[in-house]
Amino acid sequence: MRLLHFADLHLDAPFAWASPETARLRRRNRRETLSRILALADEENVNAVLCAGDLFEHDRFTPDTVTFLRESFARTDRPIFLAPGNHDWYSARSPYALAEWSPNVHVFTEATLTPMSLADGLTLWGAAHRAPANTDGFFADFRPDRGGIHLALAHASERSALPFQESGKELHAPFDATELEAAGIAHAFLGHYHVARDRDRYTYPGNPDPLSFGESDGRSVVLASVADDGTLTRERRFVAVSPVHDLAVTLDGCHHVDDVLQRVAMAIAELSGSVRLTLTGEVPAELPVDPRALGALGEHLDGLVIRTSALQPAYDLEAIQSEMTVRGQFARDAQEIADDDHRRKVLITGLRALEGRDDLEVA
Amino acid sequence: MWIERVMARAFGPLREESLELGEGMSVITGPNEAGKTSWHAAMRLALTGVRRGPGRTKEAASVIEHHRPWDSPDRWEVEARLHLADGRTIDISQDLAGRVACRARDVVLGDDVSSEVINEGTPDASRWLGLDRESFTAVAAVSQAQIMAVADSAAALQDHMQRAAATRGTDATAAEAISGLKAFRKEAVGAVRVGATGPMWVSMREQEAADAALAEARRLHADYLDRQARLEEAARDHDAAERGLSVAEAAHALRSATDLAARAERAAQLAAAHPEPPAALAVRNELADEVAAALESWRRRPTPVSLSGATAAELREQLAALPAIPAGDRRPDRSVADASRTLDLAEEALRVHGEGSSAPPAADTATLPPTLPASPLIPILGPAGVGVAGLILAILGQTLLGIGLLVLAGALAAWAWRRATTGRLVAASMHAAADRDERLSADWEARATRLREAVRLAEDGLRGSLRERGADTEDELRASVAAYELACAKREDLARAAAGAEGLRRAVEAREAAEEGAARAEKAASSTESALRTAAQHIGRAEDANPEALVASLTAWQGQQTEAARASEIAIRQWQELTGLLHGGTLAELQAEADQRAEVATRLAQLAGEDAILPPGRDGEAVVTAARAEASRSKQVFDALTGELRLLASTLPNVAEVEERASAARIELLRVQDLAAVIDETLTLLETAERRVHRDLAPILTASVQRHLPAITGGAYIEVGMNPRDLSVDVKEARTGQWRDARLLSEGTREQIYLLLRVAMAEHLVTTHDMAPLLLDEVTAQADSERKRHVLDVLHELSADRQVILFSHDDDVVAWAADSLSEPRDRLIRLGTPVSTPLPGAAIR
Repeated sequence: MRLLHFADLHLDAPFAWASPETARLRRRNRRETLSRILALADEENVNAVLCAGDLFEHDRFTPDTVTFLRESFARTDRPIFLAPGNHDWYSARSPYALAEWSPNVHVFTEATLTPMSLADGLTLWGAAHRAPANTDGFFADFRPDRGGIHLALAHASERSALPFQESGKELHAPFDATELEAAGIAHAFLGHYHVARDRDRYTYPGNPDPLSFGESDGRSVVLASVADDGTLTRERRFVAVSPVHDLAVTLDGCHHVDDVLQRVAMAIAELSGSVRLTLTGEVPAELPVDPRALGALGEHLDGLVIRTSALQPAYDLEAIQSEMTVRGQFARDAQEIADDDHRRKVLITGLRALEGRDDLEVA
Repeated sequence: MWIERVMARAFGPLREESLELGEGMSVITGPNEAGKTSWHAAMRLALTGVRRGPGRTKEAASVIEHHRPWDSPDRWEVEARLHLADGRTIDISQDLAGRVACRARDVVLGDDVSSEVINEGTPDASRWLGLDRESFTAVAAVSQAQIMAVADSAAALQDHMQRAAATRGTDATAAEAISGLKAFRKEAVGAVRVGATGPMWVSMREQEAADAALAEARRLHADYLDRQARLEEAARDHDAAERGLSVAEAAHALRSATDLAARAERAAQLAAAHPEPPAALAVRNELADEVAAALESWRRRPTPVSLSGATAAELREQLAALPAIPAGDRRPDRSVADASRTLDLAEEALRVHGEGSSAPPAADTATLPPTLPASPLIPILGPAGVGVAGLILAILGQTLLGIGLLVLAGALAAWAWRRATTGRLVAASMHAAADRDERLSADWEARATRLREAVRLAEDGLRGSLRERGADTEDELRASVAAYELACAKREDLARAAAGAEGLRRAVEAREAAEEGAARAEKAASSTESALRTAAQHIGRAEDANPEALVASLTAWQGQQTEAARASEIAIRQWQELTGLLHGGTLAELQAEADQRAEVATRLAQLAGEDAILPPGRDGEAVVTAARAEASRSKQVFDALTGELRLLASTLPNVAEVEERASAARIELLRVQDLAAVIDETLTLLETAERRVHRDLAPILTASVQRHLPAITGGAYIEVGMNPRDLSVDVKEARTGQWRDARLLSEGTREQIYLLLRVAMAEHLVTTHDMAPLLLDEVTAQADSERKRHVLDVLHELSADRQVILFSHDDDVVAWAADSLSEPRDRLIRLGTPVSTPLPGAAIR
């Protein structure tokens, strides 16, 4: 039995960091990612496709997305099992309930595990989130009512894995890994954690297409083979349409705008997808570094986000603070500002103002 | 710090030349084009160098433009030997072209001390003063242009002070910085008020709008979900209604098919019963009517009357035999009766009084009258017998007579009682009565007379009454009365007989009517019987039977006729039913239609399922109509919701995009708010720093200037004051004792004060324990001879503490230097004369 497992595609998710055009493109990319997943299922001739929730976002999905999903799933006869998550929770108003899915699509609709037979002696137990929060764990006290090999598909949070996730991640349908063994589940195909995680009894594939910058590696879809005795082998496949890069480029040694342009252009020349470029280093105080001007260098990319807050203008603050001038007094007083970023901005703004400059906004 | 020597290896027009300077005051003079400006620049650049790499200031670029060697642009080198306050002697060399071989070296130790003062890639000796190459120029170098600016503009003095106080003169003043920041804030942040157009207000409004748009987008999205759910429900309702319609139609079809099959079967039965149309019923059957009329007449015939008693003729004869009613009284008139009774009474009274005698009976006083029994029963029995007789008469109808007897009986009773009483009295009073006998006799007689008269009068009255009643009075009066009463009796009898004529007359009439009715009944009975016979004859029945047989025969015939009519009527009705069932078609067609209907109904029922049954009593057509209406209604609802949902879907905002716009608006607002916070804090710090620095600087500068002011102004001004707020300078005039705004003083005085302030500021701004040399270029150009001397004297005095290097082409200055300066501390260097000496270049290079 070969299964293709994915989760957390988050169709129609917003991208606050992106320009409107980039955000729109990224949403299109996510659809294309799903098409890649289904194409991969065909290539690998898997027996079923498993989605462990957060396929789309209930509060944001467009009618067109539902049509896209319905038609995408209807193009294949391959069984597709969907276990709604906390972002695409099941309800009477959910597309899961209202769309006319093709017969090969099965949506788990209950908040408790219900069975679907994959083959003789092989049962897939699935459950759904029926609310955006406060869903109880699915595995505690669960005991299959039949024999054979038991697999599970759910959007659930293994408690011990939470510290390894991105900050802000919350527990939904929490469980302990030991519950799987107690329940006799050979393997659980899970969603919710975006950081990929492979364990003996469960798999988090991670979000298959990047949602933001700085995501860890390994997020993909999982091809799983289940032997007759229930043993599982996994293989990760990367299907992201548009990668996301998070780079830091130092501008040390740059004396003029052309230096900066050249250095940034070189850093992103070979990249595709979306790039977040953090400029670091010390630049001459009078050297203007305009993110908007640099943004034009990323026309070949899906999106280019430039951060300049880590740049250090080459003011000799020690010397300035020793001056018996208004500037020296100002620089000394500014040191009293507790917040580093605010202090940096005030210092640079004041020094520039004393230089008579008009580029007084400090990023 | 002081500069011992400057060596121009290659600098502008200078090549391998040097200047030896004094530690005190050095005056460098020469005519135009002697190289004073080049030396001035070479001196500065030998100390500070130029920054390595691009990004030079405009001033640095100007230096490069003006002082690059004329004949060998690639070699541009200058060197200097310096003495620092810490006792070190430093040789500093600047490779201004390649900016590679730049270094500072401790002459004694031979160490490279470049790293102590490296500034933007090259050694900058001004760092030993706590300055940099820009601020050194601003602090230590005073140019002719600056002096002229102070001379030309009264405000330049204060501006310079502020600039120096803010940035050591390199950049803007604090006021300019603050003003620039405020202007920038106005442009980049703007006001927060209705109608404002600045970024803060605009971004606040945009964020509000974006948040509102997001709320609306979310509401529309939720509404879309609601409508989609309602559409789903409407679809289910419509499916149910369509299914209901199918069931109703199937049920209706089944019932219609069943009905049609029954109709066809009935039609077949009727057609079998009536292969041909039945004969039409006659509109009116006259025989039946005649029979019915005859029978009805017979049943209604009058009952024959059987009369008994006298006939009318006999009664009429009896009537004719009755007498006429007699004239006169049929019973004695009352007047006669009364008169007769009056007479009786009168006569009785008289008889009682004395039986008609004229003398009173003497024996009456001793014995009882002989006519009366002496028995005590006489007074009772006598009147009783008369009374009984009266009563009998009265009972027998002889009223008057009876009454008379009764009256008489009464009188008798009275008399008997009186007699008895008298007798008892007589017996008791025999003696007293004799006296009254005489009086009584007379009275008795008188009374008898009156009684007789009364009798006569009564007789006259009776006679008169009789006459009045037509009675004959010729006979004795009592006989006349009797005759009269008899006549009356006769007439009464006649009258009674005559009185029976009226009843007999009515009996005649009744008898005549009865006889007439009996005759009519007899006639009617005869007529109805005749009608029976006629009817029987008409219908061919025996007519000679008795009426009862005729009636039975006719009634039987009538029953037969009624049965035949009923049968015909049924046949006609059934034929009409058959015609109606066939509805213009044939029986075969009807049966074929029934079969077809049954087939269709069966098919519909199979589709509809087991529910295709109409409840008994339900109108199938009405059920179908209702189901069709429900299906239509549900379809309309479904279509309307579908349309609404499509429209909504086509206009549904993309929530993610709206969220992104809201997020961008929030970020922009945060950016502006952060910018405002940064600017505001910067302004606060700058204003605070300005106030503090000015407050600290003012007394320092005041004290410094105060030391030299009287000397430099020739005693004209003896005191100086500085406003900490704006560093404006006031001086006190010696002659008047009044304070004057330094900006309003003469140009020369302003120059002098300016120089003093520059020196004071240089002292203040140098942050190390060293002293910056002063590089002065034609600073006395605008002064008259006396003022020049004063200035030069002050400069010379100042050179006691710091090196003063004065460039001037002024002969007065040269003359003053020649007179005032003394080597080796001071130097007068005349350019254009062999003042330069060969340099030990190899030692440095």
